[in-house]
Amino acid sequence: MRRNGSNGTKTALFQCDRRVRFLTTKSAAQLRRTILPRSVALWGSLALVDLAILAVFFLLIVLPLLSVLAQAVMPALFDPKAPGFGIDISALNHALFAPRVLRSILHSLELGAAVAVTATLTGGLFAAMTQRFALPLRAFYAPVPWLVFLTPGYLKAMAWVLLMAPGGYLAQLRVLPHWGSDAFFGLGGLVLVHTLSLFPLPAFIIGSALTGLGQDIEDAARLSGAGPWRIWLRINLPLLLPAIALSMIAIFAEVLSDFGLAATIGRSSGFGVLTYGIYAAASDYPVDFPLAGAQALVLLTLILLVTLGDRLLRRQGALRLISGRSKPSHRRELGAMARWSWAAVIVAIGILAIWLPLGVILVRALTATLGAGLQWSNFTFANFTETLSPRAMALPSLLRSFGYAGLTALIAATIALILAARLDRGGPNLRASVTGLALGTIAIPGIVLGFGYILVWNRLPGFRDWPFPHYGQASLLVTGYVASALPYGLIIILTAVGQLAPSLTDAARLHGHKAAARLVKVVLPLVLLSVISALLLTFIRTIFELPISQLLVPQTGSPVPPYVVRLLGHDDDGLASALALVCMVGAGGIAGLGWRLAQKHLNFTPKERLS
Amino acid sequence: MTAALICEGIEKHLGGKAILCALNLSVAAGEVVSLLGASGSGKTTLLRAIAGLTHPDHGTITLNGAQVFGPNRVIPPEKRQIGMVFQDYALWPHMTVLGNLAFALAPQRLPDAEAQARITHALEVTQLSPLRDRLPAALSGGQQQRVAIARCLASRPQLMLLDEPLSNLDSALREDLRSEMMNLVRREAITVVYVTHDQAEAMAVSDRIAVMRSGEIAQLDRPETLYNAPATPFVASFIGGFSLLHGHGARGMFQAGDAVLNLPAPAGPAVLVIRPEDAHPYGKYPATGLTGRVISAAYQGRCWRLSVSIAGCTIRLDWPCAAETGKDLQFSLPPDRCCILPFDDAPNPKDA
Amino acid sequence: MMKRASLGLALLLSTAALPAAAADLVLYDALDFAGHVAEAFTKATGVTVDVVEPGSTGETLGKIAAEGDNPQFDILWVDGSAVFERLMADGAVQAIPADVANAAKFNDLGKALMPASMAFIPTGASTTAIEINTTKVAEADYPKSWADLTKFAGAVAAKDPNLSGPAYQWLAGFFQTNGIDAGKALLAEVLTNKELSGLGSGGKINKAVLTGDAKVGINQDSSIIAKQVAGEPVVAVYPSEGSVALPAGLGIGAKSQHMEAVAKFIAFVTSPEGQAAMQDGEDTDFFFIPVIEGVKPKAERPAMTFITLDDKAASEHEAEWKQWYKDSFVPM
Repeated sequence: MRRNGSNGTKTALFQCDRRVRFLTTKSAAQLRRTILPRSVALWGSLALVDLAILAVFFLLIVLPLLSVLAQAVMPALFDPKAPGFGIDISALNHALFAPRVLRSILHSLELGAAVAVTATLTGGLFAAMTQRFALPLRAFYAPVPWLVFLTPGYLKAMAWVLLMAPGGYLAQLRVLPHWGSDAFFGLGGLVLVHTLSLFPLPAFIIGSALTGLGQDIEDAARLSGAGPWRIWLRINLPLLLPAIALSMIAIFAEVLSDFGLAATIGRSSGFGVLTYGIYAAASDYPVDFPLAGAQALVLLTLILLVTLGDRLLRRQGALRLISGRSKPSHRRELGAMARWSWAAVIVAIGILAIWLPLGVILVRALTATLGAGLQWSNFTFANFTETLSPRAMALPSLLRSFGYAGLTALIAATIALILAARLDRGGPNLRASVTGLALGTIAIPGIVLGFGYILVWNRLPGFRDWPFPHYGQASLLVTGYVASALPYGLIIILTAVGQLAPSLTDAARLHGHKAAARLVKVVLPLVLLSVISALLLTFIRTIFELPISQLLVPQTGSPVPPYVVRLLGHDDDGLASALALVCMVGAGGIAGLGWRLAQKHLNFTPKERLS
Repeated sequence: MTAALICEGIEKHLGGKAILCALNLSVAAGEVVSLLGASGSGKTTLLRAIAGLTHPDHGTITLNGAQVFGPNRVIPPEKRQIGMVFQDYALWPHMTVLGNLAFALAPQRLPDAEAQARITHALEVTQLSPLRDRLPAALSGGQQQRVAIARCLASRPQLMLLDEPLSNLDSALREDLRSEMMNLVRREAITVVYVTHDQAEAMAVSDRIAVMRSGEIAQLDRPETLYNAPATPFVASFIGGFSLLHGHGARGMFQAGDAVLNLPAPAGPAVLVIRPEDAHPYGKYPATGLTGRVISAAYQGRCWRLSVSIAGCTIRLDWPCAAETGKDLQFSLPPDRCCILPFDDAPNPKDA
Repeated sequence: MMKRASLGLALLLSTAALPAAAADLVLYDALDFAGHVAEAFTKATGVTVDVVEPGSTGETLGKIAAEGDNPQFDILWVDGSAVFERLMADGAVQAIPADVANAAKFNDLGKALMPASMAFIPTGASTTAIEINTTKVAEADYPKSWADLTKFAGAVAAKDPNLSGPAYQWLAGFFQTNGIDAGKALLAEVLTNKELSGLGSGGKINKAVLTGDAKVGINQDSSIIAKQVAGEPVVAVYPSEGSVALPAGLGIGAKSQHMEAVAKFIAFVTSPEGQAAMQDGEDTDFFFIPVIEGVKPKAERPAMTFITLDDKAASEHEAEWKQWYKDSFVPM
């Protein structure tokens, strides 16, 4: 697919070759001499870079994925004593139709569908109310979607468990009856926590579609005499349908590939889903390779279908809505009653989604035991002193995580930038297919990727003795991080590069600048802000990345997420809370500072398309 | 004059559609040639092919005697020494005016003194010296356009390509900037290929104009020649607000509906090209009297611009006094200004 | 220039933040005291140890399983004996050299636990007992045997052997004392509440018993004693059928290149100094039953009858029995 350009040129050259042969008396040898150099030059320059891109994708994503999936049909592939390529469907059959697997598929679908609806409703309401109406208390809810988006799921899950558990804070305060707690540990609780942690996604998608709609359409409807409800039902809602569908698809995929909640609330409430099933099969002894492979196969098939649906929708023009080029809409004034009651709803969403969980984690970090609850005598700084004490395990894990995340962010952003610059010139087909691939990769659950990494880098001959990256060392963990961060970075930077007018690099080219100079001197400075956003986003996501960290823990020591989860497993949730908080504050501080600095110094044309 | 640019047999297909067909073009040193055409006529593709930003399927491009594109040779754009003023100017937004010029000059690895001198000269002739430390975002549209030209001038290109350089400017500014820009270009004696879709602009700036249609050059001539003797109905329809009266020629007469004009006309379908300013009172030229119904009249200061319907065609005329809508109007044309062309059935691009 | 320099600096900084070269020994474990002992060992000998703790015993073994015939650890330290037989058969651990094993001064229990295959060396032991909440169950009603648990059907908390090494040891021992078919029938009668029978750790059993969700639990005795010592109202009762001793075993990675350091580590762990480090804490595993001559337990236990586990049978049936347990008693 990447060779479209060169193939086209080649075909053209051959046609030209044929015609020239009829017209001239030049010998064939002469012709070959005159024609070949050009085709070879074009081929060479394209093929080398493209091969490198292919190799990166293959090593980072395709090979690990294949290793996981192949064992579904080749149960002996990774057998420690007698490995073989024998194909045996019976194991897959057995695994697929085991009641446990069927139940976890059903659970995953049920949960995904429920959350797709609830999160889209919540996010859509949030976007519509905050974007289109002048509500008070803006400072309380404006940053909420971003904060929620950047807080890892398992921390929110931890907070909710602390609140809702039979001996948790709400039970202690006698707010929550026993049945409430029972209901929480199951589908209900998972839907609640997923909804509250995923609603920013539809809020972003529907929000930008609303921005794209502009005020004109609404004004025109008002002048024709339509009331506000009618406008929303008959004008805005139909126009937002593609965005709503996109949101639901995105949420569904997110829920399917989630591991953080599955490993916390899901695990302790016995609500098994596919991701946890893969983890359980892979961390059994002996490992049930066909079972892990089969569940991964089902999960990936589902996600592939969802991603395809997403691509189809986008192709049908949903993206045109999300252009943000229309006239910005102003916020409408509401009556006092409506203002305050809507504000209360929005603030309540914000409180439930972020402020309450953060508060609970803070309280737990500041108290000695959960059981003693909110008594004064229970408050202590011990958890923080232990977190920050250089002798304990927490601080080194914190420093390690920051180091790994920083390195990952730099590497992923650099690769993404080079890829993006390359792809931008590669024609619409290449761009679309790589963007599709990247979007698909985002959907690949980290748990599958991490498992694949163990198989490839510790088991495959040739890879296991490869010195760098090497299994058991930080190098492989960082490689895994890069693989899972690359698609995000690529999409952010590709979007930014796509917004650069092509004439900017054409101009540099005509003035004699070579490709590297154009990338470094023209493209990079202009997309630096996006590169830095990609970098910071990658940094934060990597610091809290759970499944790959869990599976590829380096021998030299654990990064923060597995350590936090292990502390939770040991009922040491006070220290876990303190560590998580310190980590969040540290990462948030670094990212916030970096963002402010970048905004200040790198913004050349703040609102307009660069041209 | 020697030819600075020769394009021979340029062909380009995209997705099975011909964008450029066996196109030939030769531009003399110091000459300004416009490529005039509607969007989709291939003018921008030709420009980009000359620059090297796209490659034709066939043909050769020679620049000052050296082949830059041919079956056995592709010189990449960065080595062609061609300057281009883009439609959106393509100023690098993160560099100051000075920075834009210096960065453009950098690949030539000139001695510092010479680079400095060239930049200073380019800034002076474009009157940008006081703005040298500003970022592009802090400049007006006209100033940005001057920076784009200065950037080209400083590089001393073998050939300068202008891609609709005025289209992003307010119409009030356009005329001033156009003459200012062309004065500069003429003074520096640069060879220019100028792409535009505006015939008035092309007339004003060019030594010669190539009217393009569907990847071919319909006519390549001096502006006066184009105006006085358009080669085809298509060219005529593209120029000067001319109107076409469709009819046919027989026995040395031109006939359109009821009107019969005593003018030499080729046999078969034909059009009479009517320039607005050629309308004279009826009877002044008895051989060419015409009658039509007034559709609209608009006062334009020097005259009234009338739309008159004759034999199903709408003809635009400049008329010294008002005419009542719906009434008949009679007028005549000077026979020596009348141009009758065989009609080749191709659709009028402006109607398309 | 500035930007490039700062980028380079950032790269340098983040590289510096990565930990330096690997240590002399790699230790995989799922025991509370392992990190503490490794620290004491490094202090005493200067040999550095990377402590890798992927999570529960199950998760640790899962990591080893994924590593297959290319195990990355020098030392594995987990609860269980059957599991080491299996690892030996799979080529993940190698036999303990005779001179290393002989250097340890075992007491009678230790000698009994030392396997013929030399797949591991015991460093301590525990067993499985019945955990009772003294505020919920009158002393007269205490169950005395596994069979007595039928009286508490539906209110018995148990660990999933798929997640816990000790739990599998218990299951295999239970089948040995009560018979496989009879044992399966008994468990089917007792473990009727899946929410209680598929728990993941000893801590969760303690929690279930302490909150009253379960009246009694099947738990590792060291876990019960740790809670008892902490002042919680629980007591451990040893079943009359006899208890299978569960050694904390230390095995050597099949591909270990550091045999000398491994021997040093084993010598340290079986020395009084190492045993003291193993008792220097308040978590479950610190309350083990000593297997080294002259070492006093951290807390006294009531008398119990030990039986020896048929490791071969336990190892052979491991996958099958675990799967049966999962299908029968684990929710999801």
